[in-house]
Amino acid sequence: MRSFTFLSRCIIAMFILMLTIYPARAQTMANAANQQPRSVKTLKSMLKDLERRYNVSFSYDRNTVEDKRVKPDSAKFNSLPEELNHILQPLDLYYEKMEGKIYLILPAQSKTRTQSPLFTSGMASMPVQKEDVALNNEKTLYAAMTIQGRVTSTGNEALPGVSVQLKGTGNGTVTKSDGRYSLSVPDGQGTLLFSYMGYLTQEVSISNRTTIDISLASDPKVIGEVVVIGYGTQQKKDVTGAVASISGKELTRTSGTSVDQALQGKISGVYVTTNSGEPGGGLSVRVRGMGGFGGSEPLYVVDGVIITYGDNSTSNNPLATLNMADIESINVLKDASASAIYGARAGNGVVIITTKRGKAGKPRLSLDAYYGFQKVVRQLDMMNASEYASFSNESRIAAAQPVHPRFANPSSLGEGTNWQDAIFQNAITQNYVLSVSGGSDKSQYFISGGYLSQDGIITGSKFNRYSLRINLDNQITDRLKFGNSLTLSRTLNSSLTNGNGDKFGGIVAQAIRRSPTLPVYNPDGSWGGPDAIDRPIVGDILNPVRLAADNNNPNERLRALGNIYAELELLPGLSFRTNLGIDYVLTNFNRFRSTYQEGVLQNNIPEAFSSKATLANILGEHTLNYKRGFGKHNVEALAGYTAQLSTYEYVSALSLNHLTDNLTTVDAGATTGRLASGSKSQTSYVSYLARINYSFADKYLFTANIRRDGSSVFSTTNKYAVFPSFSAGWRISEEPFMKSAPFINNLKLRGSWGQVGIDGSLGVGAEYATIASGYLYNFGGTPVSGMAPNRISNSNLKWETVTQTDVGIDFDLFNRVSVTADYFVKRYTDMITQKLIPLYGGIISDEYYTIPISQPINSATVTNKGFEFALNYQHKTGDFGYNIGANLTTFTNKVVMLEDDIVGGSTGNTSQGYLTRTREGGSVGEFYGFITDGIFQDQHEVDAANALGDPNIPFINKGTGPGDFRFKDINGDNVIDDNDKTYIGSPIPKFTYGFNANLTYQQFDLNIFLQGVQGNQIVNVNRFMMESSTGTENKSKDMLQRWTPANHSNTYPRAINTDPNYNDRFSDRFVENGSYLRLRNLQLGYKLPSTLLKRLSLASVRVYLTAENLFTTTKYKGFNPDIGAQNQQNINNGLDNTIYPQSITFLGGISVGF
Amino acid sequence: MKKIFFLLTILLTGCGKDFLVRPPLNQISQESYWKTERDAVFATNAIYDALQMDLGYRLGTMMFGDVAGDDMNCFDPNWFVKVDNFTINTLDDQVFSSWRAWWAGVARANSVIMRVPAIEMNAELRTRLVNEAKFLRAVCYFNIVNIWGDAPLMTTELNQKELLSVKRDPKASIWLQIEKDFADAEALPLQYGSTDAGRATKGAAKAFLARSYLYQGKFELAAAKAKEVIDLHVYKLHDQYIKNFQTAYENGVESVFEIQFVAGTGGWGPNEGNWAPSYTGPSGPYVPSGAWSIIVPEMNHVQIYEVGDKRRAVNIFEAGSVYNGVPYNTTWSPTGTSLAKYIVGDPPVMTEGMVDGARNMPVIRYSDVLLMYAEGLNESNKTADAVPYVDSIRLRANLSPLPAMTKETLRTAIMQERRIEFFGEGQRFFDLRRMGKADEFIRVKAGKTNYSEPKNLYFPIPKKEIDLNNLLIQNPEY
Repeated sequence: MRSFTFLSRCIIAMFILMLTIYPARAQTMANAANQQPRSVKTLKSMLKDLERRYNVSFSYDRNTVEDKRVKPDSAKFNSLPEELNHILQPLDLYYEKMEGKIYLILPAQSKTRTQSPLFTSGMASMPVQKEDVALNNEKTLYAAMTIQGRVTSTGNEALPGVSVQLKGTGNGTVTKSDGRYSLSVPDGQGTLLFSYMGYLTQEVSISNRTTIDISLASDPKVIGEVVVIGYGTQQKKDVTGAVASISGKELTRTSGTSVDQALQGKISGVYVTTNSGEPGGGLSVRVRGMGGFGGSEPLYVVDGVIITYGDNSTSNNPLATLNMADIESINVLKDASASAIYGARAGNGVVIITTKRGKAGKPRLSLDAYYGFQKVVRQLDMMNASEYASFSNESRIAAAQPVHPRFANPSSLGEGTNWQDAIFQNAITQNYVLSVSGGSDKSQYFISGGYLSQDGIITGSKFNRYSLRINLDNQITDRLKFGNSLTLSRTLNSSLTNGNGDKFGGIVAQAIRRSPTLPVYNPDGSWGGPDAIDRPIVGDILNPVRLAADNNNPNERLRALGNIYAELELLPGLSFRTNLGIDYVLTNFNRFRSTYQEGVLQNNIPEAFSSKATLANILGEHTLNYKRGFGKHNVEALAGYTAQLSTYEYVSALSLNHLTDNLTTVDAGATTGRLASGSKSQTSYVSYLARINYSFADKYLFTANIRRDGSSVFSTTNKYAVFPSFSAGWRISEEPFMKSAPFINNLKLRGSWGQVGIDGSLGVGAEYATIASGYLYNFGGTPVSGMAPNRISNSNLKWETVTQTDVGIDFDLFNRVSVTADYFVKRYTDMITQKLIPLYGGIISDEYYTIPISQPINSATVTNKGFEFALNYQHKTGDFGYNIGANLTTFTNKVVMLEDDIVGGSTGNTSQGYLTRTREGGSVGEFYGFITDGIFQDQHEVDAANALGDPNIPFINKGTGPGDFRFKDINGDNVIDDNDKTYIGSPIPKFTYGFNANLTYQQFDLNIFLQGVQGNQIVNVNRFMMESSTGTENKSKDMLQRWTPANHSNTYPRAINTDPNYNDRFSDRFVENGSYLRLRNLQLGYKLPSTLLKRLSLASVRVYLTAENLFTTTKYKGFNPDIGAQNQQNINNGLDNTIYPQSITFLGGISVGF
Repeated sequence: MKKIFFLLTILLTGCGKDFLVRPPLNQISQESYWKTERDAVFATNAIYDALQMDLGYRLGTMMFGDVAGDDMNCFDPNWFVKVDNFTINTLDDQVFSSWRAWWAGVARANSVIMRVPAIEMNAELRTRLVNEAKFLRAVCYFNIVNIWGDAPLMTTELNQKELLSVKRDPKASIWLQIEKDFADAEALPLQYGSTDAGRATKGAAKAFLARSYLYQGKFELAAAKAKEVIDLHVYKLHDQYIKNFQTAYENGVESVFEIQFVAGTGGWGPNEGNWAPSYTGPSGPYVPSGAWSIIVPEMNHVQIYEVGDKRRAVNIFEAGSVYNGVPYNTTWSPTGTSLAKYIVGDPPVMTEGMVDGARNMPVIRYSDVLLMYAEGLNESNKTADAVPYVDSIRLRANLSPLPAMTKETLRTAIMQERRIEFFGEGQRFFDLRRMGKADEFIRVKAGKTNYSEPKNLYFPIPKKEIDLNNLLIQNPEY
């Protein structure tokens, strides 16, 4: 509550301030106008001045404006139209306002012409004298015919304001807001020249046509001309940091549910892996390598609101609440110069997501819809019933155990149940988005509603999203702007309980493990399960189909994410902006465990669990922006203050013993045995930030950033930290000596250095020593309360620092090729690790359990280095256009300093221990286990090996026999034990790459997107049980090649139910090559031609077919090689622990513009 | 313009100084604690709780005091077998648990001693609580110095950095602090009302101080302090030895200080029950809720009893014992005998969880005060004055008074008396060591051939702790 008061006090203060300075500002404005220089100015410079003052842009034909001068006077104006008219009328020019903030400057004659096309009729055959066209426009009055048409972008959006000119003449016009034009020409010969800012100029020969529709390709030189940087935007040419952009249009090509999914493979330096293939599942996004040992997700900023990533669970991706169709652009700030404006939380990079906004013009209604299905990419090849039964018999005979009486004749059992077939389904996926946008000069709106429904490829899992977006902008006065962004969303995620990362309990794990001799259902319709005779043989593995059917746990998430802003122009070039953001997430989780009976396996105790969590994240930002040019000097400055408060609250309840399985709420359970739990925490940040961009002659660019951050998680002594950065750029292409190489459109060298921070996800108040209750003692025979410290204070703790150096180059050639390349060194210092507190300190977490007490300390250092490369090639010849992009990122990761090794990753089987180990000198999360050294082929080999060791401590094990693995004795002590584990692989790829081709031919377009990863390894945890020697769980078909006295395999061990040799310990045989190349997306689209559209009264229609993940080339034997991090922890990377598999998707879709 | 910017800055930053101060909302911080009388009382209660921890006085004293000595055995490899046969190493979990318990007590006591004096509350209670904390700190250090020898002397709260730079201080400075704390604690009340029964008293402080002197060989001081306890006239011997182990006589006339247990607070895990019945008792009808014979008497222990000693039946179950109408079955224990004193006093409680005994555990009984006094006198060459005090113990045990004694024979007699009187109460190993008899009784007579001095005079410091702070030097030969 206190926080709210604080923020509201700030807001009220801000508005009072704005009101009080408003009249004063008006006065200042007037004075400023009077102080303008009284010399004669060129029209061009006047327009530039207006562009700056009114934040608009002018579009004009060069001839129209060139050499025109404006006489200065002391007139004062209240609005842009007034001022423009004052300037343009004496010059015989006029303006036309286009959508957004674009104004066309046109000669007065063209006004007459475009408005009266009929005026030219009947005046044929007048010869055109090319020599004098430039000055004599009257000649065009004798034109013979009229050409009509529509100009669109490659995305089939109408382009207004495009200049259409008969080549070599002054005869021309511009397109209207619907992209249509009409131009009178003398005859059917000649060439039309279409030009528009930001697009490649096109020439089309008339060839006696009267209708010429054309689509313009965007100019690679100015593609994504404006990039979004923190707290503002910048011309791409002026950017000196490493910033990569991706447009909303590209995002909508894939059917994924969340934004991070769409980023995969698209941007160099950004490595995205999938934690779960479940609908709405989580991903790991790593900008420029693995940073810390734990989570290192980038900071996400949506419309200026820093969102809290929230829980790290694999099945709940908070970004899945955003509707992808609403996204205008995503910008990734990669280096320290770009990200330093976000200071203490930017150490893992920053992802800025900007949503679409309305544009002035008549309402534009559009509908996007797709419908399709998904299926599992591949299934694991498991044994059938008869193969399983033979294996079971063999393994039990080897262990001298009785065999299953029903397995006496294995071949009679046939195929049995394919449990994977039983749980996987073809899942329907569908998505509908309806949006409307438009507005007047003063007010614009963008409103969209979306519905997404995606069934999971495993029965019972499902993801639904309902979203509504309202973005408004209002020009209240010439100087005051006000607006908002708002998303309201509701997602329902029927996530599989234990769907992921649980070798034993999950549905996927059960489907792999369960005996194929058991049926899904019994003949009477009840659930199939082992009877008393089966059970000792096939174990207690539950029926995965029943588990999926019992998956009665929709996770509901309601989110309000948005901001309101006010922007006030204080002086020309100086504006003040205040932005108040909120991200409010309410999560509702209900789970009911029904009673069940599967043979002799049963549960008679129903259990209901319900939890509610709220995350309220409030942000206040106040920035001053200053932008001004002085001759060749251009200065842009930003200063700001932000405050953020996050409050998390959680409450849960559990009850048991419901009377029936139909009453699933907590209150329907028995009144005894209920459990309740809850928690609340708060984190706050206060930051001061400043940035200055300076450029000289558009050639030499400098940027400096500084941010001072304060956080509630650190103690008084270390509460604040300062994060500086500097960068410089040199646009060599603007130098005079480069003019001789006109094919170089742009060449820029960049360099940056800076520091940003990571707060280590510490949660609340690491500085606080706490006291806990529960330390009871009994005086007079009655237990009484005791309170004792359970945590000591940690005032030395401070931010992790990331120091990053980046050098980069951008160049564009021939108007077709653009290349960006960067080399970076990212050094993480003072990284937070957990340090055990000695017990003689007397702090223990609870009375009897030996949970070690640890405290975060700043200790480790990690370095990431890498090279990023992105290439784009774009061209259009005639009807054929293509746009080809490729990107490549290399990785190195080195732990430079680490006090104690960090272990991570588990299979769920404690005797298998940890799978990864991070050490000084290595890289984060290396796999750590045994190395196999073939299989013992006869008893003689076993005896010889065991004789190496002490008689009491044999080399491997007394029970080891032929067909068991031999492991390498790494430390050479003649005993195989935990000291023989070593580093056997790394989840970090050598490089990752993406390739994208977008081809258009007439009305068709084809998009191909390939993505790949090279040089990493994966631990295929599924195989721990699929290829073990024990006979309870079902086995991989590969185990048909197992060692037997008749088949001396050197790859697959013998069957022996007791596994005395411990063959399935973690060894290199479970570490696989994780490289892959995947056709992520293949899309074929068709745009309806304009003649047809006209008849249908539609602006645009595009239909398309999409296939995702159509093929993957990989040596990996699991479901899928795209494996993220368990619990988002970097020390758990690349462990395929029965993860929900990914799917192939086929879609058909339509986009309609009305 | 500058003015406006200045104004803005002031306005914005002035919005709230405490904005970045976010104490935990679901936990009490040190800053917000230590305000009320209740806070002081609860914090003091938690120190007692440390004494009750599993390898504190709950089982730890039996492990070191009895199993390591010559009278008790442990055959269970998960428990104290390494302590029993002196193959203990620096990785032992039980030693680690014990280490954890005593240091928890020290830290909790330090907080109370540091912070309670600043609390506005009833002054008398405040003084009492601080003195209880001093008593308890001294008890913990008494155990630490006896089990491990040299130890870091810490008397205030330390942060992590400070903790990692401590060293082991010599035993002498630990003893000095123990004496000082017990001396301060002598200001504690003589007795408490029934709701506070079990708190440290004046008598307990004096008795523990006497024991501290005795352990250091300061016999005259020990005798004087024990005499002060006697002169308090609040303690006397129960008429029957068994009453010391009966729930009905908890905190009775002979009890100087005991660990308080209650039943019914849960089973295995952090409960408030006494685990001794389950650890020492035979399963079956004697402990119907379950027992494991983990700690059992040495077979030769039964041979030391004089004929007619009534304590024998209280101390041990053996062939011929009958409890609750059921004859003892010697197959119930690997040695054919069981420790009886934590079972035999009460009828078997059928509903108890496995480790949920209600009976308290004695730490100092008045009989100990009398024997300490006698030993102090004897060692101060007042043998004749000492004999009646030993006789008073023998008398209750239905034994005849001692014959004429020299200093040496009385010393042996006192030792024998202590051995029987405090059997299974965690004293034997330490008594043998302080008297210089450990090698003779443990290695030679009990045949524990691994025992060697100086190594086994003290126990190893857990390796995990030295790994964190290598300024802690391990005890010799570990």
